[in-house]
Amino acid sequence: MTAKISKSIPPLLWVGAFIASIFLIMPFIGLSQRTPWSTFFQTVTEEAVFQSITLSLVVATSATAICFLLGLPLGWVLARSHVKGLKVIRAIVLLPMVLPPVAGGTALLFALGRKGFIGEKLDSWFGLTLPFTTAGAIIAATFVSLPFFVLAIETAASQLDPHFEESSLSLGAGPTRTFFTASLPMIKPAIFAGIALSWARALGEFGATITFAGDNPERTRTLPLQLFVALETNPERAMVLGMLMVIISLSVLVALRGKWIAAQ
Amino acid sequence: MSTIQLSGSTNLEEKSFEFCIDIDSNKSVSIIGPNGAGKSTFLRVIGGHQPLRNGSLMINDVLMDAPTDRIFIPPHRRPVVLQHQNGGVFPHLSVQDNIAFPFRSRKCSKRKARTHISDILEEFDLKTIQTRFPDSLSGGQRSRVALARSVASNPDFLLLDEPCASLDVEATAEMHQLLRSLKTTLLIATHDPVETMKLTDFIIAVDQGEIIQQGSIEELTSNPATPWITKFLDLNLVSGKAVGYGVQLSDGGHLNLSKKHFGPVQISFPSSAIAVHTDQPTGSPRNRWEATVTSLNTDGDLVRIGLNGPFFSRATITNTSFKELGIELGSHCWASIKATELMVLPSMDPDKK
Repeated sequence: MTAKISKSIPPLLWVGAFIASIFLIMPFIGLSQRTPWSTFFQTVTEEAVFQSITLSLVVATSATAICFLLGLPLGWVLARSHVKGLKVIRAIVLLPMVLPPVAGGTALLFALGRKGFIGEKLDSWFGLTLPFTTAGAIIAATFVSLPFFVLAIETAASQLDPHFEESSLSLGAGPTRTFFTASLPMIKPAIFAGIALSWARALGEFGATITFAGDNPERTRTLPLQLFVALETNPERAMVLGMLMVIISLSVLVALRGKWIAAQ
Repeated sequence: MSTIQLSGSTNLEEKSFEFCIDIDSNKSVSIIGPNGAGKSTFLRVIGGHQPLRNGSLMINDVLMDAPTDRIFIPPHRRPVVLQHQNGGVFPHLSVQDNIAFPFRSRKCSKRKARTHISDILEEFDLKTIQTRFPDSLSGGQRSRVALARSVASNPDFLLLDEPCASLDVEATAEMHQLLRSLKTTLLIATHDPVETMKLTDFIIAVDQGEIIQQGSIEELTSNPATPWITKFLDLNLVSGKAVGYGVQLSDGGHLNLSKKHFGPVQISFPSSAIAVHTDQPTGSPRNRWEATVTSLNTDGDLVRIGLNGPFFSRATITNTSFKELGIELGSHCWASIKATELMVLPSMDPDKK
């Protein structure tokens, strides 16, 4: 129904749009041309590579699970509550989205690191240290991906017609029941979108992870870290890893396009 | 008998509302008033979606809302259901799951719920579409689901906020028929005078956040508090059976239409469209009947006349014409109306009520 609008686009914009798309597509063409496809499977199944794939999946999935459990309540409260000062909290909550991940990792280190103000107590009280552990990598990934989930929930919750929830209450369902049987199912597309976005973000996390959790081949060397190391020592492996991440990210995008984003 | 006793005030977006009224379940009630007058707010206070700032609300002699005593019974524990204008049918549930919703909420046993649901699906003619989802339903079907679901909740009062505002003429007629068949007492916020006359026996008129008048339709039409009420109720409503250009009215009498219709119909026409004559009129108006003047009310430059003929009707004429006619209570006169002034509404059961 909007097919005819393209007629009114000034030619200059076409030129800009063309250059922009070339710029975005070019690196992938370059990467896929150089990728040693014949040894792709072999490289992926090498022990070190396979380990980082597994680790990446564990880290990204755990981070997403935490995002779901914590981001859902936070997004909902941000959307619905009128408590004063919430706007400030909202700004801080969304900070990791725009903050360079290295700075985020540094902040995490000074809070949860062995000498950080919380990390110190974790160490002396429970003997817990987060840096150089998988838990640390999960925390770094959660830190950068949580805002994406919160934002997805907040947007959906504030757009949800309050009449549905009022109807539910009026029909005898209490607030908790209303939340689980009426509100949540109605923002399902946003929940899926939030999961996909935060999972993708967690999978690609590099800066905060290497700053906070460090580079331990067994516990913290996720795909991006492995890729970074391979660039120096094993360029062929780096290309395979790069392509692998392109494929994974592309699948997430396609999945989002196909169903969840359109459903909103 | 169930009762609502409301006497209190509330604030909403810098507007203040003050309501003071007793309602019982003997009569269905229309809440009328201009846009933004407070019709919805009135229903929302009773439903528990808008807390009172001052005063108190009792339903069935139980305090529901009393801010000074810090009492507030939340909506899900009140014996009323507020149905929104759009119906609020859940898009993620099928028709039958929507109907089952109030049963599940009130923790009814599954077996008991199933028979109830089946009865309600039957009663509202939803059996054939029970597995479908709201997206695939027509506006009329969706509002039927909304109503069935509200009734399934078995409230003492069913509060409806403009139930037919988004429906077409056919669906509205169907909805009116369903609403009339309900045993539940209705409180309807409406901007449709036909709805008021067809469905309710009592009117609460609100304006600028206050109840300005309450009473039966007759009481309000014979002595309206504001010009707005006069204008709103300036309407006659008769029902009958149409055969082509003619309608045989169920109260007796006959009217000529400007277009062909068949089957049961309801006909509405403004009281100002009726002309009153002392002798049998001649000329173009297709409809003429003899009547007796049963009531006379003067309102500024206008006079409202109750006319009892083959059917009852209300006419509004200017004071000048009234003086020229020289009629008084009990006078015999003639009334006429052009066929083009008659508005035909489809109806399912004109014989009822």
